[in-house]
Amino acid sequence: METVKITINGQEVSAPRGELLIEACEMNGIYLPRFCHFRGLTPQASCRLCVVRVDNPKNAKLQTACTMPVSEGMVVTTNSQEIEDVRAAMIEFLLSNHPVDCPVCDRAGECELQDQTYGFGEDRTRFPFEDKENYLERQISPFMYNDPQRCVVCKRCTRVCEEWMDEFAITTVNRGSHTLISSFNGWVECSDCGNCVDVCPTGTLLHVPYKYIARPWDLKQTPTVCNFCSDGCSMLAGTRAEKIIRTVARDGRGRTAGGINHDFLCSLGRYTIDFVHNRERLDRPMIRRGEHLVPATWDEALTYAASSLNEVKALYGGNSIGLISAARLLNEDQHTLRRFATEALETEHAEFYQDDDEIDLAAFFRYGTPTIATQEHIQNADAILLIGSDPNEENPLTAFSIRWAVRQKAARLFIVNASPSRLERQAQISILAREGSESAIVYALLDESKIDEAAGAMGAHADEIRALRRGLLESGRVVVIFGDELRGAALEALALLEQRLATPSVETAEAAKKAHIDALQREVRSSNSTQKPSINENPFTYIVERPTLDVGADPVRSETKFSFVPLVRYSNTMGAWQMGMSSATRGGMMAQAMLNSVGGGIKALYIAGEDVVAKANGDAELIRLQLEKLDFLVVQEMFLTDTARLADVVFPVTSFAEAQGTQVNNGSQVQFVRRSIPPVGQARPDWMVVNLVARLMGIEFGYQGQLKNVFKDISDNVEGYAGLSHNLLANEGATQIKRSQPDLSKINVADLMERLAIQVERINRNISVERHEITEKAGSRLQKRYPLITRYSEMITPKLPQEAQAETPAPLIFPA
Amino acid sequence: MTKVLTSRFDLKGKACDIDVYLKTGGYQALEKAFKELTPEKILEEVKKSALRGRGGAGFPTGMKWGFVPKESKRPKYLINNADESEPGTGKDRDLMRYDPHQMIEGMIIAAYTLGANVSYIYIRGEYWYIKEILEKAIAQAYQRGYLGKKILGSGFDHDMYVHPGAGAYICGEETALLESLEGKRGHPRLKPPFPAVVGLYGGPTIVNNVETLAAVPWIILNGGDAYRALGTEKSGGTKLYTVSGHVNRPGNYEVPLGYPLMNLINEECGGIPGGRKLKAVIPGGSSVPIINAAEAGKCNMDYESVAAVGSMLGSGGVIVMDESTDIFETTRNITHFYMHESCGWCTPCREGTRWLYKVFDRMKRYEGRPGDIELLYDLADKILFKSFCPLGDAAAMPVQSAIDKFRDDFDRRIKYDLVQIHKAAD
Amino acid sequence: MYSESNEKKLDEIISHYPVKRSAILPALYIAQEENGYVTDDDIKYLAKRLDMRINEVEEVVTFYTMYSRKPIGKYKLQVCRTVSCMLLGAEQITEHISRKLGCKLGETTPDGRFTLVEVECLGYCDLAPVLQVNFDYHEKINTESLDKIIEGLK
Ligand SMILES: Cc1cc2nc3c(=O)[nH]c(=O)nc-3n(C[C@H](O)[C@H](O)[C@H](O)COP(=O)(O)O)c2cc1C
Ligand code: SF4
Ligand code: FES
Repeated sequence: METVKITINGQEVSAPRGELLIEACEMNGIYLPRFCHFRGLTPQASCRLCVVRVDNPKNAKLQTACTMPVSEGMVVTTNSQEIEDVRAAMIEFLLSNHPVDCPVCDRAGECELQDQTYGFGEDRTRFPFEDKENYLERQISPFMYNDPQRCVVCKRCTRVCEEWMDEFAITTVNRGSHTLISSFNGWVECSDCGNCVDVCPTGTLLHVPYKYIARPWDLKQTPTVCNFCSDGCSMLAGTRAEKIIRTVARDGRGRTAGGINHDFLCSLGRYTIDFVHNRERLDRPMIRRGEHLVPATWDEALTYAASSLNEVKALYGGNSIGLISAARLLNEDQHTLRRFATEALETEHAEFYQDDDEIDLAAFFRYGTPTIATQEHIQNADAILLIGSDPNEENPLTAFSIRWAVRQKAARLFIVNASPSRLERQAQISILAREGSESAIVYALLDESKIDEAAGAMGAHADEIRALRRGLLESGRVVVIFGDELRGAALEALALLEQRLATPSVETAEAAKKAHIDALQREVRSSNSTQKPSINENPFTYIVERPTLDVGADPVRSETKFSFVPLVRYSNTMGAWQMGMSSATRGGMMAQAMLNSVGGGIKALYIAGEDVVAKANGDAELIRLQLEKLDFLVVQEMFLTDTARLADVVFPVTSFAEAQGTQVNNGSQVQFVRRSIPPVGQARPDWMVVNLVARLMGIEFGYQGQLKNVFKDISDNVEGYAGLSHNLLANEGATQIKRSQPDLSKINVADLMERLAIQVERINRNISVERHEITEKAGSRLQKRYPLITRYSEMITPKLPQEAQAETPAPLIFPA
Repeated sequence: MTKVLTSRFDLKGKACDIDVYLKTGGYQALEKAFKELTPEKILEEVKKSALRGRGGAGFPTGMKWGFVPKESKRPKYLINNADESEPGTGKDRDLMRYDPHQMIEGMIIAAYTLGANVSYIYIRGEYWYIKEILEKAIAQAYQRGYLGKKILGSGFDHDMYVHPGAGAYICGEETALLESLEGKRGHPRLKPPFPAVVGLYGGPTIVNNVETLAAVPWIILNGGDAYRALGTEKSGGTKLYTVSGHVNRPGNYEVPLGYPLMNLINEECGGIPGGRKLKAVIPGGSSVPIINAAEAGKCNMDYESVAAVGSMLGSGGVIVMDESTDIFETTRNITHFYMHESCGWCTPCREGTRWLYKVFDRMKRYEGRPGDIELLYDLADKILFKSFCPLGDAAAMPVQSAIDKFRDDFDRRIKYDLVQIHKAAD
Repeated sequence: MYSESNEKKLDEIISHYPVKRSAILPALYIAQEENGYVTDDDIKYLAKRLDMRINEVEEVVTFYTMYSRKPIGKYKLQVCRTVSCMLLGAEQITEHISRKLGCKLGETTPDGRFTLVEVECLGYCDLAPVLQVNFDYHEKINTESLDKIIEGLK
C-alpha cells in the first residue's frame, strides 16, 4: 500500500495515501473525538467534533478530519487550545438539550457521549435545565425505544439502515433543532436487525428486550459465535448471574467480538437467545417406562442406552443402527458422533440431517475443494454471481457483504434466480429464471455456444446471459454464491469455471472496471450521505470514493479467479461435512433414507439434536409412525421435542451458550465458540454424552473427558486441521480451512458436459417465469428454519403492548 | 443614472409579454451572442465586466463560469437561484415579475457560454404567482425559437424549467439547492467538489442569482468595459437594493456600485419618517453585521467599502432602523429566523441557534442573568466558522455585531438581582 | 387518488428531470391541493410513483415548511414575522387577526376556515408588513385593510 508522509503535532508520521485524516491520526496513536464518523459508513461531517487545523494558506478555517484525505506533506495540529475549545463547545452544544438522565439510561457505562464528555468536554453546563425541550421516550418498533432528547443526530442509525441493510426504515424527520430520528408515521417497519441500536453512540435508541434489564458494567461479555445461519457471525454474549441477557456485535463503547461480521448482527442472532433459559429446557435424562418418559439419573440412562444398543447390534448387526446428527452441532460433537458410529455402533449409516432443498455438498466437493470465499473475499470481489437462494432472507451477513461490495467497491453483481430478492436493487444484471432452471446458467457460462439453449431453458433473454458471461470474463476476482438451486452435474461443473473463463489481463480487468464505474453514472468523488448521486436508473446503488472497511490494509483476494460460497443452511453444516459426518463417503444411507428404512433394515436410531418429526414437512405423521416402529431410539436434545417424545432414552444437552468447541461457516472458516454460561440443569455437551455411551459399550476414544483432546484428535486426523488448536483459534479468530483443490485431470470433462446437457434438456419448460412480490421482512424465512428456537424464544415475538401501539404513531410535526 | 436591470420596471409588468419586451430592445443580446460571438468571447466579456455574484457571496461571475470543465461526460446544468429568502431582500421578485424575459435571455446566454442544455429556475414556493409568470414567459420564448431545439438556427439546444421550493431558506445555499432539486432534504453538501465540477446529478453546474443573470444581456449588448465603467474598479456595474424598514419610500432601487448609503436612504427613499434620527443599518440582508449611524454615514455601497466599515454587501437588502428601534429586539428576531431555518445537519448551528434564542427569549422577558450577554457572544463565537455551511456564520455575525455596537439595548434586559442592587447601594 | 388531469400534470413535471424523484416538491403541492395537507396515502402513492421509499418522501415532507402533515384551515393566514415586517408592526397584525378570529397562533378556527401562522421572511420586505393567504400576497397591510381581506374571504 502506498503511503504518504504527514506531520501531526510536529511529528512526522506515515499514513496510507488517501486515508481519512481521522483514521490516519488514530493509526498513529492520536484519537480524535467523533460521533458521526463511523467505520464503514459514508462520511458526513456533521458533529464537528473532529476538527483539526491543517496548514493551508487557502483555507483559514478549521477542518474536519473525518472528511479530509491525507496528502503528502500535510501539516496538522490536533491539540491546540483553539481546537480543545471547539471540541468542548460542541459537546456542550450536544448536551444542551440532553436530559442528563444517565442514572436511568441503559447506555450509561457504554455511552460515547459520556466518554467524549469525560475526555474532551468541560465539567459545567451553561444551559439551564428549565429551558430544555421535552420529548417523551417512545417505542418506535417492536424492538426499539427512542428517546429523542438524548440524540446527537449523528445519523449513524439511518446510514446503517440504508447502507448496510438497504431498508431505509428509519430516517430523520423535521429540520433544525426539531430534527428527530423517526420514520413514516413514527412506527418503524423493518427486519428488526437492531444494528441501528448497536451503533447508536448514546441512549437514544435502545433494545426493547434489554430495557432496564442490566447495567453494562455488570455484564460479563464473552466473545462467541452465533449458532443460527451458516454465516457464523461473532458476537459478544452479555451474561449476568449465569444468564445470557443480550448479544451484540459491538457494544456501546465500540468493543466488538472482532469477528468476520465487524459491527453487523441480524435479528435472529440478537433477539432469540432467551430460548436458552426457557422453562421447558430438559434438565435431566429421561427413560421410557411404558407409555411415559420418566426422569432418571445419568448412570441409569447411560447404562440403559449402552446395553440396549449393544443388544440391537448383537441381534441385527451394526448396520441396523443409524445415527443422525443436527448440522448445528459443533465439530467436536460431530467428530465424536462419527467415531461413535463407526467404532461403537459399527454402522455405515451416520449422517447429519439435510432437508431435500439443501446444497448437495458431495457433488460440489466431488473432485476436491474449490477455493471457498470468505466474507472479506465477497467484500473485495470485482464481480459477484449469485445463483439461487436469497441471502437477504437466509444469510443476512452475506447479503450485507454483497451490498458492501457493490456500494463501497463498485463490484458488479449478477443474479440468476427464480424468486426475486431485494438484492436485485444492487444488481447490474438480474435474470429472473424459470423455477428449477438455475443450473442452466452454468452450462451457458462454460460453453458460449450453448447460451441460446440455456436461455430457452431458463426462460430468459440470451442477450442478458451473454452480457453476464462477458462481465464475468472481464472481471478480475469473481465470487460465486449459490444455493441449493444448483444441482447435480451443474454443481460438479463449477470446478471447470476457473479454466473456461480464465483470468483476464490486468488491463482488461481494469478497463472493464472503469467502464462499469462510469456506467454507474456516479461521480465518484461526490458522495457523502447528503450527496447520494441519484442520476442512475437504479437509486439503490452508488459508490463511495474511499472504501472504509479495510482501513490501512490491502484488500483480501483469493488466489484463484473464481471462489465460491455454498449457502449451506446451518451454522455447522460445513463442519459436519468436514468431520466426515456423511454417509455418502462411506456408502451408507442418508438421514432421510434411514428414516424410511425403519421397519426394514434399520432397527435402532441414535439422533443428536435434530427434531426429525418437525422437520418432515407435511409428513410428520408418517415419520412419527416410522419412529414408533423402532426397537430402540436414543435422542440427545435441549427440549422435549416431537422426536424426543418417542425416544426410549433422552439425554439433556447443552445449548450454544453452554457448549464450547469449534464451528465452520460457509466460508470454510473455523471459529471458536466460547462457553458463556455453565450448563443448564444436568445438561452435558453432545460429544461428552456419546463418549460416555461408547465407553459403556466398551469403546474408549481416549479423550479422558477433555474437550481439547477431542480437538487434538480432529487436528491429527481431519484434512485441513493440522496444526490448529483451541487456543490458537481463540486468539486468531476465524481461520480458513483449506483443502486440496479439484484435480482437473481427474475430471472426465466430456462426460460431465454430457450430463450437464442432459440436465438442461430435462428442465421443464412448461413452468412459467413468474415475478413474486419480494418479502417485506428480510430474514423471515430464516426464522422459519429454526422452529425449535423460535418456539421457545419470547424475545423474537415480543408482545406488543396494545397501548404502546396506540400511543406511538403520533409523529412530532414541525412546524406545529 | 443608467438602468441596467430596471429599465422596464416602469412598464409595471407589461414587459412580461414578449412583444413588449422585444419592442424595448429584448433578445437583441441573444441574437448578438449567437450570431456574432463565441462562448469564449462571451466569457471574456463577462470577465471584463467585473460582474460579481449578486446572491450574497459576491464571487466574480466570469471566474466561476471559467471553472466549468469544457469536456464533460455528464450533462452540464445552469441553475438560476431565485430562492430569495434572505430577510430584507425582495429584489429578485421584482426582476422576475416586471421583466422575466431579461433574466431568461441572460440565462440562455449563460447556458450557451457554458454548454448547458438544461437550466432550472429554483424559485421559492411562496412566489407561486411569479412561477406562473415565468412559465408563461418561457412558453413564449419557446414559441419564438429562443428556447428549444436549434436556437436561432445555431446548433445549440436548450430547455428551461421552473422548479418550486417549499419553504426552506437553506435551499438558497447552492449545494442545498442542488439536493433539493434532486428531490431530497435541503442539506448542504460537502465541498469540495464544487458544483462547477460536480453539481446537479453529478454534472458540472453553475448556480447564479437572478440579478447576476439579469445583468448579462446588457453586458453582451454594451460590452464588459461599459458595464464595469458604471461601477467601481473592482466591482463593476449597478446593483439593485431592497430598502426596507424605517424609510419614507421603501422599495427596490438600482444604483451604481459605490453609491453612498446615505444618498440611497435620503434621496431614493426619501429619508426617515417623522424626521427621526437614524440608529442603525443592516446593509446586506439579515446575515451581515449591523452598522451604526456613524458607520452608515461613511459607507459607500460596494463590496470593498462596506467591508471597510465591518459589514458586507451581501444580497443588497438594506434594512434601515431609526432611533425608536430596540436593536435587542431586531437581533432576537433575526436569531429566531436562523433557528427556524437551520437545516439541522451540524451541531453548532442546530444546537447553537436554539440556545442563542433561548437566551434571547429570557432576556425579552427581562429575565436575563448577569453574564448572559457574554454568553450570547461566546455562543455566537462557537458557531462562527465552525459550522458545516455559512448559515451558521450568518446566525452568529448579527449577534456579535449588535452586542458590539448596541450593548445598551442588551444591558437593559438583564435582571438585576439583589446582590447587584446592594452593590450599587454601597 | 389523483384525477386524470393531475396525473397528466405529474407526468409533465416528471418529464422535466432525468430522475423521477426530482419531481417530489412540485408533486407534493398537487397532493396537498386536494386535502390541504399531505395525507398518508399521498405519501405512499408518491413513493410508488416517483421510485422513492416511503421514508424518503416523509423526510422530505417534514423538512419543508410549506407542506403540512396535519389538517389545516381552508385559508392559511401567514403573517411574516421577520425583521423588516416586525419593524413596521407585524406583531400587531398577528394580534389583530388573532383577536378578530378568536384563534391563537398556530391554531385553526373551529369552523375550519382559517389557520393563523407566523412565517419567516416572505421576500416582501420593502412592502412590509405583509400577509400571505395561501398563495396570495397582501402587501403593506394595516388593521383596516386586514379587516377587508378577511371579510372578503368569508
Ligand atoms: C444560507 C445561504 C442562503 C443563501 N440564499 C441565497 C438566496 O436566497 N438567493 C441567492 O441567489 N443566493 C443565495 N445564497 C448564495 C448562494 O449559495 C450562491 O452563492 C449564489 O446563488 C451564487 O450566485 P451568484 O454567484 O450569482 O451570487 C445563499 C447562501 C447561503 C450560505
Ligand atoms: S450551518 Fe449546519 S445546520 Fe446550519 S444550515 Fe448549515 S449545515 Fe445546516
Ligand atoms: S466525526 Fe468529523 S464531523 Fe463528526
